[in-house]
Amino acid sequence: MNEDVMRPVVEELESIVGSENVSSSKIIRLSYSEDASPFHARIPGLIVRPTETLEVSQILRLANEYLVPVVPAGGRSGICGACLPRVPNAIVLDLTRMDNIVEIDEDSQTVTVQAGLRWAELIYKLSKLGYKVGFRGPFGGNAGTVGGSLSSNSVGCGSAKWGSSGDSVVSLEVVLPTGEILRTGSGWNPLAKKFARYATFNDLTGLFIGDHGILGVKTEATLKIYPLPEGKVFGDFGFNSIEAASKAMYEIQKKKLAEELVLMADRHTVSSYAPQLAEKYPEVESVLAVIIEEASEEIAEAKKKLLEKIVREHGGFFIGTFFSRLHWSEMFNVVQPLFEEGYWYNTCHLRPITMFPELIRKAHEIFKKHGVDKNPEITWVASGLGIDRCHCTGWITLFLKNPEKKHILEKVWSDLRKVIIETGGVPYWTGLLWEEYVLPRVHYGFFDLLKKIKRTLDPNNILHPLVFGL
Amino acid sequence: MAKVEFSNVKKFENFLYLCGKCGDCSLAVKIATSKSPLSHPCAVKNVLGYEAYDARGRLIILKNLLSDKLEVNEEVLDWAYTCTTCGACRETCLAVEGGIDTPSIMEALRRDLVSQGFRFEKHLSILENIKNLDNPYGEPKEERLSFLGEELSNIPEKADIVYFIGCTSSYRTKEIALAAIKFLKQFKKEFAVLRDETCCGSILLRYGYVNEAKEQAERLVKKLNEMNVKTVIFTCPGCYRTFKKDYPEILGRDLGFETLHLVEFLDTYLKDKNIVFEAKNDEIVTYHDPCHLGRHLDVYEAPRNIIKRIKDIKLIEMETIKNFAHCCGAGGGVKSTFPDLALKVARNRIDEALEVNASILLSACPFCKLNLKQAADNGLKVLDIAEFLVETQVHEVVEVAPKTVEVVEISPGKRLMDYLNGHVEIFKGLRVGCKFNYEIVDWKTQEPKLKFYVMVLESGERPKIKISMGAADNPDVTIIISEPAAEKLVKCEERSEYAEAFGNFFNEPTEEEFIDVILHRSTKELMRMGYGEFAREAGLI
Ligand SMILES: Cc1cc2nc3c(=O)[nH]c(=O)nc-3n(C[C@H](O)[C@H](O)[C@H](O)COP(=O)(O)OP(=O)(O)OC[C@H]3O[C@@H](n4cnc5c(N)ncnc54)[C@H](O)[C@@H]3O)c2cc1C
Ligand code: SF4
Ligand code: SF4
Repeated sequence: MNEDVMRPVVEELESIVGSENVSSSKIIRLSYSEDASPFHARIPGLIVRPTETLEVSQILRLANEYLVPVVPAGGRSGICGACLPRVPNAIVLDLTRMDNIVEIDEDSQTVTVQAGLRWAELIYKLSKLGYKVGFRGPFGGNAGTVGGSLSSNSVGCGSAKWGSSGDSVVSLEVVLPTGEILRTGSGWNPLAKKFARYATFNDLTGLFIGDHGILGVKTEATLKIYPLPEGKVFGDFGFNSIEAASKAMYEIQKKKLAEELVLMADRHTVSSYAPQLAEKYPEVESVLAVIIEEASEEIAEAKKKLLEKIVREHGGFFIGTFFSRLHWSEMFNVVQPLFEEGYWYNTCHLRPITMFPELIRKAHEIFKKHGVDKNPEITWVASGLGIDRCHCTGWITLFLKNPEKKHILEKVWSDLRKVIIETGGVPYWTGLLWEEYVLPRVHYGFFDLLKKIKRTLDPNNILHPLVFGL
Repeated sequence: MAKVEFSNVKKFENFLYLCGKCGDCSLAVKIATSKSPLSHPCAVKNVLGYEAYDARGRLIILKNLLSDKLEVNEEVLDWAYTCTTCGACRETCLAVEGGIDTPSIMEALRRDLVSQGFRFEKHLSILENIKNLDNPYGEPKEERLSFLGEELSNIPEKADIVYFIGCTSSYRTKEIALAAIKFLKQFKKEFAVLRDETCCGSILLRYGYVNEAKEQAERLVKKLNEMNVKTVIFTCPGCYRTFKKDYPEILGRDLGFETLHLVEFLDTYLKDKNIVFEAKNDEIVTYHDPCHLGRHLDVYEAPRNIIKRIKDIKLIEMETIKNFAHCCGAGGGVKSTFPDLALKVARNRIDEALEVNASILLSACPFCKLNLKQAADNGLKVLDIAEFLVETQVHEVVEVAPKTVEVVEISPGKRLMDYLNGHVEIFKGLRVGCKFNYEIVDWKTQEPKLKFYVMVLESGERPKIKISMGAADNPDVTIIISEPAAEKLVKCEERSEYAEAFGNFFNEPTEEEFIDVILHRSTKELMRMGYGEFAREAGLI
């Protein structure tokens, strides 16, 4: 870090957020140099921890004055390196102190939160008042923040019914790269409540969702809330092929029966989650775990009947409720126990459910090609999560037990990512994980518009430079 | 600066590698999403704010140290001593069995630093004090027992049981030692106090001075062995942990005597006795789990059982408790190295106590007491359990029916308890040491009517089990059963029938008849412990 250049910046930052919330310490900067991905980028130049929108605005104005890059960071639980600075000497904004609930508006059934609030805490605070959010947060919702998720198109708990993180949003408060504060949706009218997203003008909210922090710093988000459910049904169903399981999943989603729908895609995955179950049902290839949540028991029971019919029609059978219940009662704790298998490498993306079996087939071909199916030092889990209507996530996560086998892992990982894009998959978050695979294929017109928007909003390219190659 | 060999840290390289950097160890709140009393586990990070101070950040920094991307300098040295080694991060972490052991890695780092000459001035003077005066406080060694005055002559020099007072209670929290002595005497136990007690060396270990600590250990254990001591009782969980966990490790052998905390001794002693305590006033108390007693040694229920025996006292739990309790900030050498930090951490814990409207914050550790008391400037009383029993109770022990009698009535829960005692084959497949809670609840209110737990003592076709009232310390699983479901379970004739009924109540619950299971360990770990067999038979998995 160039101390002379940074000194005046540090002093001014200290006057904005207080000296204890600005740090240039080497160990502190290093501790922000990684997220939950295996990627490394540039070590931040400064760490700043604001608590209010106004502070964020002042920081961005200052950054423009001194031409210092700024990178917003939430829980840094991202698995694609999205929050890591690509340029040296960046200010990393640690937004996790901005974690208050600003308002619960029962009239419009919305909650407004500061962007650094984590999903698990939001759920806790809302549950005390008898409410839930629709999209509950990514599976990493212990640490993932509302702002981080909205900035990276996160999907996760509750997505089967409620869609992607962005679908829950009514309005955003964003600090633009030049420091102006913007409120979207019905929030354009200072006299109106923030109750409607699509109103009066075009949907500016959507401009910032999934922007990976390059178009503005989200400081508040207004999300829809719902009363806690009276009726809940859990069910785990075994299928003898991934094709049958995917068809059932598609039908369940078409009828919008489930709150959450997880598909363990192959026997290998079923065995790693549940060796006992794999042993008990040697013919089971895939498992569908379904959670229904409804306003009343009657509605839940009626949906259960429809669900069971679909399962039967596709040759599936009931194998218990343990996984769906565990999945729901350990909402944000299901992935971490897998870390024991080795360091994790992801390929998370979206695809139509009907194209899910193809992914699994191709993945198995890749595993075979590189001998992974016979190499216990690299293992995988393959699963899918129902999203919104009839698409799902493709989650093939690799675990590298022995770092010396990294060269093999790299090949498998790269082949998987290529195949995913080639078979019509689209990543939800991009970051260092996907840019290399995604950017060469972006339609010129799309990218050109994005560039123009970025240049207009961020003339000095202050905010998270080089992301998406911008 | 010179190149540093991290031979101790390197023993933990696998942990550094397996951390998936999820961030749970400082950011998680699991109260609603997994029914765990856990919120922002790292008490130090909660004060210092930056990632460098939580486990994830620490592991990232350690990787940089090991790969020489970061040199050891004063900043690194300071940082190494900001961890209270409380272990809350480890409890939160699901990555490996038992969690990534950041506290041990931080202690390993301190050992590496100390062995290569990186030392704090402050620590050196404490080292000198221990060497010359047998206590870290710099107090005269001959005054160690002077607080006992005449009383000392009534306490034997030798007995099967020794009460190890510890440096803190000898010089700083004498009231705790006096209270302990009173109870030990009252309950007619013959016990001795070492006339030449010395520092146990806990602080030396926490700083990273293993050789010096080993000297203390050798001397003390030799003396206790020579006296043929059978049990050593502690009021200081720091000394207790050092004896129970560290000594066998650094001495490479079993100590040859049992170690107990006073609360464990009292809880066991009082279990079958008709003794209750009466408080002077109705008060709301809350209990702070000392890290060394709770997370490090798994003692959670004994102090609570004792508090629950006190009439007219309401025990209200704080938001974070037991294995997820926030640290008070004093441990791991933090109090002596960074007293301001320790105090700020303690203020947060005080706030937790105030949030539940407690008027008294109880603990079972002189170190926690001192730190919390210093931080409590707003009317909250901070007391050790022993001291509370002495100070606020009618001193005579009243012979009346114990509270626990209430639960002996023949309720569905009690019937299930008896049934399980007679049908131990249900627990076939479980490993020795498995322990799990049962909560038999009213189906309408979901309120627990009876709590008991099972511990597996010997495994086999007909395992040897022990069923006790209350909750287990650090259980693997909690099984919640509605009373009507319990009524039906006890009618099952054999294991397979019981398993099937259990599975039905779980998989197809009705409003009245249901079973729910809360897992306190990952499914993988539970499978390894042998829970899979029953779960499979019951159709849970
Ligand atoms: C165990 C585990 C499970 C996971 N499961 C899922 C899953 O199911 N689905 C899923 O989508 N992801 C998952 N993830 C990844 C991650 O948790 C989510 O993507 C999460 O939404 C990231 O939030 P964050 O606050 O950690 O963001 P960060 O990683 O801090 O940042 C993500 C991006 O958002 C930007 N950003 C952060 N805050 C703001 C803000 N306020 N304003 C503007 N830009 C901002 C950053 O610059 C970065 O580009 C998982 C991670 C873990 C560790
Ligand atoms: S130590 Fe455990 S809880 Fe913390 S980041 Fe690493 S894996 Fe997650
Ligand atoms: S041991 Fe305690 S203080 Fe140290 S990193 Fe873990 S939670 Fe924080």
